[in-house]
Amino acid sequence: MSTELRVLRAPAATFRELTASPDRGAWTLVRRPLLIMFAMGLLLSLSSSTRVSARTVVDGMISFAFVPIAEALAVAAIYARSDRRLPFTRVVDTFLVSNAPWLLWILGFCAWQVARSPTTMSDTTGKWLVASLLAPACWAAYLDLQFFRIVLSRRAVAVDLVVARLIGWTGAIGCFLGIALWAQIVAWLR
Amino acid sequence: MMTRPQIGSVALIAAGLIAGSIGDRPAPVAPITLGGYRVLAADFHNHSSMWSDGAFTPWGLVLEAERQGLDAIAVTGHNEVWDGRLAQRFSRAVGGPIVIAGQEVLAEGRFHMIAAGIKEVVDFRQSAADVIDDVHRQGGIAIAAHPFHGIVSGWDEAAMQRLDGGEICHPNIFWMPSGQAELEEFSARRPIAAIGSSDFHGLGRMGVCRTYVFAREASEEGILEAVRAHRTLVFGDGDRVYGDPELLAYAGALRGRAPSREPRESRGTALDWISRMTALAGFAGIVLL
Repeated sequence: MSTELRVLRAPAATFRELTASPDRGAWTLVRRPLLIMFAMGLLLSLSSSTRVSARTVVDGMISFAFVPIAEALAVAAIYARSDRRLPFTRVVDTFLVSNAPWLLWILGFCAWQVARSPTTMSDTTGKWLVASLLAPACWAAYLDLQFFRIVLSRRAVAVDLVVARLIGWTGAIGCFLGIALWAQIVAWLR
Repeated sequence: MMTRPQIGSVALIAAGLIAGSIGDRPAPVAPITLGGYRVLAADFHNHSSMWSDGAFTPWGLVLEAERQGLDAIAVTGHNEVWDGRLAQRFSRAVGGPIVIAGQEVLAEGRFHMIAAGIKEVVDFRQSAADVIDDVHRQGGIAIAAHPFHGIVSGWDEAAMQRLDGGEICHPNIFWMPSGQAELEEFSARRPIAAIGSSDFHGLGRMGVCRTYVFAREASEEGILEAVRAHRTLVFGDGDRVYGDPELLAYAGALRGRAPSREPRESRGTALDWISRMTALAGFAGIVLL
C-alpha cells in the first residue's frame, strides 16, 4: 500500500513511521514534488486533448511547479519555529504526503476526463467541480494538523495551519492569477 | 527502493506517454486560398500559465496550436503582454504558427477586451473607447471578449464605434442556453468582424471556436488588416455561420476543416484510448499501491 493511502487511513501512525524512515537525500526532496507536478501534468493532458502526451504532461509540470514550491515555503515557515530535529528534506517530503486527498481528487477527475470529450465544460459542472474541492481541502487540513503535531512536535497546530495556508495558498493563487488580480481588486474597490 | 507495484505503475505511465506521444504530431494543414485571399485559421484568445491563469506555458501554447491545425494564435495575457512576446519569439525560432502578442484587457464588471497586435500594456482603468484608441495607436485591433449579458456595461456607443470585432463563438455558447443569442445581440449593435475564440486556459480544446481570416498575406499584419476590414468567417453553434456576407459562399469549403464538436468524434483514436487508460492506471497505481 502506498504511503499516500496509508496516511489517509491512519495519519498519526504513518507520520510517526515516516519520521523514522531513512533519508535518501536529494531524491527524498524531489520525489513528492515530482508526483504532484506529474498529477497536474496528467490532469492538463487529459483536459485539453484526447491523449496523454509527454509534451502536454511536461508542460503542465512546468506550469504548476509553483504548487510544491509554495508548499515548501509554507512548511519552511513553520519548520523555522520548530525544534528542527529532522532534516528539512525529510520534513518537506513528509509534509507533501498530506497532499494525498488532493491526489485522490485528481485521480477521480482524470478518470472522469478519460470518459468525456474535452470540448467544453458547462458552468454547472464547473461549480460542482469547485464544490467537490471542499472535501480534499478539509481532509488535507486535518492531515496537516496531524503533521504539525507529530512530525514537528508543535502545540498550537491550528495557528500553524493558518500560517501555512496563508503562505502556501496566497503564493500559489498569486502565481496562478497573477496580474489579473489587480483588475479584480480595482473592481471591488469601485 | 521502489516496490514491484510501483515499478509496474511507472511502466504503465511510460507506456501511456509513449502511446500518446506517437499520435501527438502537428496536424498537417494545406494552405487554403479562396476568392484571392489566403484563408488562415486563427484563435485570438489564449492564456498562458505565466500569471494569466492558464495551464500551458507560452511555448506550450504554440505547440498546441500546431496540433490543433491553427495558422495563427494571439496569446492574450490578463493585463500583460510579455508572455505573448515570449510565445512569439519561440514560434519564430521553431517555425511555428503566426503568434500575435496581445492582452486581455480586464476591466472587471465593465468589459473584457482582446487587444491583439500591441507592444505595450494598455491601462484597463480607462473607458473602453480610450482603451481602443490606445490599441489602435499601437497598430493593434480591439475585439470584444465574450460580451455576454452582465459584462457589457462598458460597451457604450463611443466604444462600439471604434471596435474592430466581437466574439460570436465562445465555448460558453455550447452550454449556455442563451449564450449564442447574447453574442448575436451584441454583434448586431454595429458592423464588426465576427470572431471565434476558444478563451483557452488549458481546460477544453484550443481552437474549438476559431476565426477564418481572409488575409491578403499570411502574416501578423495581414491578419490584423483582414480583421479591420471585417473579412472573417466563424462557425457558431449548430449550422450557424457568421461573418462578411460576401464571404459566406466560402463557408462550405471551410466547414470540413473546422474541428468536430461532436463528443463521439472528438474522443480520439484507439491509440489515444490506450494512452489515456494506461497512464491513468499507472497514476492510480502510484497513488494507491
